[in-house]
This record gives sequence, C-alpha cells and structure tokens, in this order.
Amino acid sequence: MEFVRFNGVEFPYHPEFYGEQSPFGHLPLEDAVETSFQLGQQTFTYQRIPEEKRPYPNLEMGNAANMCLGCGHIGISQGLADALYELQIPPWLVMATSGIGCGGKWSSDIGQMLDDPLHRVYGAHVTHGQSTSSGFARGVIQPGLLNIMGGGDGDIASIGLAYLHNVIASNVNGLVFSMTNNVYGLTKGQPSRTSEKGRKDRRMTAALEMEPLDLVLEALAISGATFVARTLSSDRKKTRDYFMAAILHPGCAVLDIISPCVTWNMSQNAGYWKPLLFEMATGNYQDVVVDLEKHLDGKFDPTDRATAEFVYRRLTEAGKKPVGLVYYNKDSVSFQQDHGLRAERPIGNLTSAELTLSQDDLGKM
Amino acid sequence: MGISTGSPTRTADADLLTMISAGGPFPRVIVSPGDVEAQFSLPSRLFNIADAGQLPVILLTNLWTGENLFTAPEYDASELAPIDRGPRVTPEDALAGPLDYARYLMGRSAPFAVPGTPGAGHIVRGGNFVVADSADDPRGRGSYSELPGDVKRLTEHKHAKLALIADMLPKPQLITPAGKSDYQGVSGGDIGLIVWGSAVHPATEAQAKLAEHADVLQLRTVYPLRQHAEQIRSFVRQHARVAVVEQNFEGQLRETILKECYSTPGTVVPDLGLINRYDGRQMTAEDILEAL
Ligand SMILES: Cc1ncc(C[n+]2csc(CCOP(=O)(O)OP(=O)(O)O)c2C)c(N)n1
Ligand code: SF4
Repeated sequence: MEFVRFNGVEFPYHPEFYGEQSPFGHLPLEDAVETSFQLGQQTFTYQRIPEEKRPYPNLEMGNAANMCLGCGHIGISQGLADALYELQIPPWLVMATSGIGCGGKWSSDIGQMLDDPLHRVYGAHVTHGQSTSSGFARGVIQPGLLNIMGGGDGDIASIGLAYLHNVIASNVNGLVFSMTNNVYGLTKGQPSRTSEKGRKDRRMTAALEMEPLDLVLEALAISGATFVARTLSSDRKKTRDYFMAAILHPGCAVLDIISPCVTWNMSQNAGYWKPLLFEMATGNYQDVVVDLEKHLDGKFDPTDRATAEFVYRRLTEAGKKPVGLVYYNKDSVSFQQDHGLRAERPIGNLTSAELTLSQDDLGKM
Repeated sequence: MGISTGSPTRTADADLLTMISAGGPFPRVIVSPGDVEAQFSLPSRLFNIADAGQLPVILLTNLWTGENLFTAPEYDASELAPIDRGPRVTPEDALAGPLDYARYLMGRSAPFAVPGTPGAGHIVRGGNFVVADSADDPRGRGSYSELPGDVKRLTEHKHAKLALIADMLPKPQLITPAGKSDYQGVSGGDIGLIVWGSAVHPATEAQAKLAEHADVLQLRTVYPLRQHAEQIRSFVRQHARVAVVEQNFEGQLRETILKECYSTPGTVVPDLGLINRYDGRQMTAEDILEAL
C-alpha cells in the first residue's frame, strides 16, 4: 500500500479518495509548494496548496457553542481552524478530542456547523479531564490521522494532569493544547491548578496558598515533551503558526495558550499579560536577568532541553511570563513511528471474518 | 474488568453495585461469566452486544478465577459467536455515493463511522453534555446542545437502547443435579440457590452433597435483570427455601434482584435468604452447607 505523508498526517493514498476524480474534493498534491515559516529562529516547512486550488474551506466555528463575547477561547479555535485551512488537511482525517469546560466546546463546533458533510471533523466531547487519555487511544487505533487534544487548564492541567503526563511521555503523534485562563470558567470561576498563589475573589473564604502549576515546565521538565510552546490567544496569526508547527511536529506537541476569561477572571485580561510576556527568541535578556545573555552566548537555543529549562526558570523567577517556542526536539520519533503503527485498515473497519477466531488461531495461541 | 478493588490481592465478587452506578446514569450491561469456560466463550457475544446497542458492556471477574489452575475442556472456537460489528459505514460506502450520514437516530443504534471515513464526520457525545438530533437537525447529525428538550430526549434515547439488546443478554443458567441448561421455567424442589461469580463452584458442590433436592440458578447477566425477571421469579416461587449465594457483605445481587424483579407495586416480596462470605477468601461448599 502506498502512503502519503502530507503536512503532519499520513494516509493510505487511494486515487479515488484524493485524485482528480475524487468525489470528496481533489487534493491537488501536485500543485503544493514547499513553504516555510518561522517561530523565533526555527524554520518549519509545509506543503502549501495555493488558495484558489484548496478543496477545503476554513472550518472556523460560528460560536454556536455560546461562548462569552471576548472570550480568549474563541480566538484559539479560530487559530486552529486557520491552521487546518492553511495545511489543507482533509477534515475527515482530523480527530478532535476535548473534555468538559468552556475550553471543551471547540470540538463540537469546528466544522460541525458547515452544511457539507465533507467538512465535518471527527469530534469527541469526552469526560472532564479525559481529552488526553481518549485522544491517545484514538491516536493508537487511527495512527495516521491528525490527533488534536485540547481543553481548558482545568481539564488539561488539573483533573487531567496524570493522563496528560503519560500522554506527553508516550510522544503519541498529535498535539495537546490548553486554553489557559487560570480558572474553571464553565463552573463559574473557581480557582484551578494554574491559578496564582494568593488569588482571592469575593466568593473565596481564604486566599490560595499553593504555588501554581506551570504547564510549560510540567511538559518540558517532568513529562519530557518533544515540543513545548506558549502564546497568547489574542494574536490570531501567531496562534495559527503555533498550531501549524505543532501539527507538523512528529510526536506530542504541547501548546499552553494564555486565554483570558472575560467573565470570571477579568483582571487577567490581555492588557494584564502583555507587559509580563517575554519572547524567548527575541526578548532582551539583559533587561531581565543580567547574566543570562552571557550564558546564552547572545542567542536562546530551544533545541537543548537543559538550557531551555534553566532559562525558562530564571525568567519566571524574574516575574516574567515566557512565551514562544520553549523547547523543540528536531529528531522526535512519535509513538506511532516507534511502534511501526500505520493506517492501513483502522481496527474499526475490520470485518467479521477478520475478527472471528478460528480453531487454528486458537491452536497457535 | 479493569480497576482492582477490595482487599488487595484477595478475592471477592463485590463490585456489582459500583458498576451499576459508576460514571453516571447511562445504560450498561454487566456480565459475570463465573467459570473459565464462560470466560472464554462469553466475551465474543459481549462485543456483539456492545456494538448492537452501542453501549458499554462490563465483564466482571475476580482474582480467584484469574489466578487458579482449573481443568477445563479444550477451548472450542465454534463456541465463539461470530463477531458482528453492528451497523457501520466504511470509506468504501462513501465512495459508492454521497453519505447522508446520521450519527444520531433517536431510539436506535445509528451506523457507526470510524474516523477517516469521508463525509461521515460527527461529534461523539460524552461527558456531561449532549448532542441530539432535533427540529433544527432533522438529519440526525448531532450538534452541541444544552437545551432542556434536547437533554431530555437524549436521556430517553440512551435508556431506550437497552430494549434493543434485551434478547442478546446471556440467560440465567439452571443447574439441576442432572446438568446445566438455559432456565425454561420448569424446576422445583426444596432448595434454590441463586449465584453469580465464582460462588457457582461451591454451590454446585454443595448441591451434590445435600440430602434434599437443590437447584442452582446461575446469573451471568447480573445487570439489568428486568428482561429475566420472569424466570427469576418463577425459580423463587418453585423452591421452598431460596438463598442468594455471593461473595460480598451487602448481598449485592440479592439487592439488585429485589430492586429489578420485585419493585412493581403489588408484587409480593419473597423471603430471599443470603449466604455470603466476605473475608477475601473464596467461598467453599462447607460455608453453604453450614449456612443452610
Ligand atoms: C469529572 C467531573 N468533575 C467536575 C466537573 C465539573 N466541571 C465542569 S467544567 C469544570 C472546569 C472547567 O475549567 P477548565 O477546564 O479550565 O475550562 P474553562 O471552562 O475554564 O475553559 C469542572 C470542574 C465535571 N463536569 N466532571
Ligand atoms: S466563562 Fe470565561 S472561559 Fe467561559 S466562555 Fe465565558 S469568558 Fe470564556
């Protein structure tokens, strides 16, 4: 069987599916032009199909899921839809898995509002905290498809933390994104595991005493992620680029996306974050931590884990919120590649005859 | 099967009530094979039930059955049910013509499409929220909804699915001193023992040792029981003394039988005895004889 690797997905190439006569929209691989974009100093390349030849529209959601106007999550879903549009991954090759929360609604929305059934992705709106564990399972039984797992920081980094850790460590091909608003938005603003120490609103009887969990550090230093980045939801183009790089990355990419909750965490809006952000690739280290510039020899290198962790910690200690590509393993080998899993026939499509055990099979066992 | 519970590295059949309510109020089927032969032959049927009803089927077993040596007849593949994956659409179907794909059809199991099937993308419901076909969605594609009407219809739809698979559920097995069969409603005697899990072994051993005539009714489907309520009630009626024999403190199967088979108003609640052991050890025939 012939496989095509195209912009981070791998699928068996049936000319009936993707060729000129395809009833599903011709994916003109022959017109694709190798195109690059930058994240900091790092270059990522993809096969770009010119806009006029694209078979698939932007799957941007129409806010059918009833988000508050101004919610950061909306920009994140748009950035994701933009990335899928730019990469032209057939929607039926996309598995979108989310848990419960405002940050879980994107999977029900993306593409689902478009009338053409060919523009609908495979969404799963699963139990709170289980987007990564369910997404992992989906990635293993459908190894070639694009496996997107995402939710609020409550979902990903609080109740879902144990699963997140193992899924990152497995390096299953796909991406995990957290829409980090530092509260439980859907359930009306309770603090989450990422809320800052000392947080106290009028409904809390005491201030939070625990140090917050830092998702980037968790992924980078504890789970051993092969791709970790942070960005702010209000920059749609940047969000798109981070999603694109994460999709292209072979392995489990982790995106921590700061996403203001305009209803329950008003004080931490985009205006609050902007002065705190520090671009790891281009920021002026001299201003923040005097000896860092010297240590880095003038340039931050996101391909070395120990350096990334050291620099990241120093910046946070100095009160900064580091953003950008924090760490990236160029030689990452995904769980699927490592285990030789390929998408020839999904388990779900095996026939009765293929699945029924014979006396002969039994004897061999 | 999955989580291990109870006294670590010891045995019990004590997870029935947990499994009945775990995860929230959605329909499910719980089956306990009880012996190694059934542990081999039942799962293929359980997969078919799960696919036909598109609901979870839980297989309950215990440590004692899993960690002991048994002599069993050679496994015979012809006892396995041919796998039937239920209604599905495949990429090949999509090629044959545009799929007007409906994932959600109220009151029945709609065809299932595996991710990667062109034109059958959909959202899988789960967690606390629902997708439902509605007046706005006559094609049954499903979409996000928290509207009270949608939540109500979806809840009813989920529960209605049990009726689709009621006939497929493993039936109560009657074990008389003469042998085993599906319970047909004809048996009778002094003592009736209703068992599940690995209590079936000591129960049949005790049956052989008893001076009185004793019958054993082994429940393999342990939840729901409504579809087998008539058989269970008739077994209880036809024996002078009836006890549920099980390896837990509460009498979990007894409680479930009373709830599922005797809760209609006007039903006379029988005097169901309980013979139980809950010290982490497998029950023996002596335990039963002594209790009787
Ligand atoms: C197992 C479980 N525990 C708790 C809840 C209640 N709950 C629903 S959403 C939520 C947290 C939402 O916060 P987050 O994941 O950060 O998403 P946000 O709404 O902030 O985007 C909680 C605790 C639940 N639905 N399921
Ligand atoms: S409550 Fe907060 S997180 Fe939820 S939709 Fe509104 S702004 Fe967004």
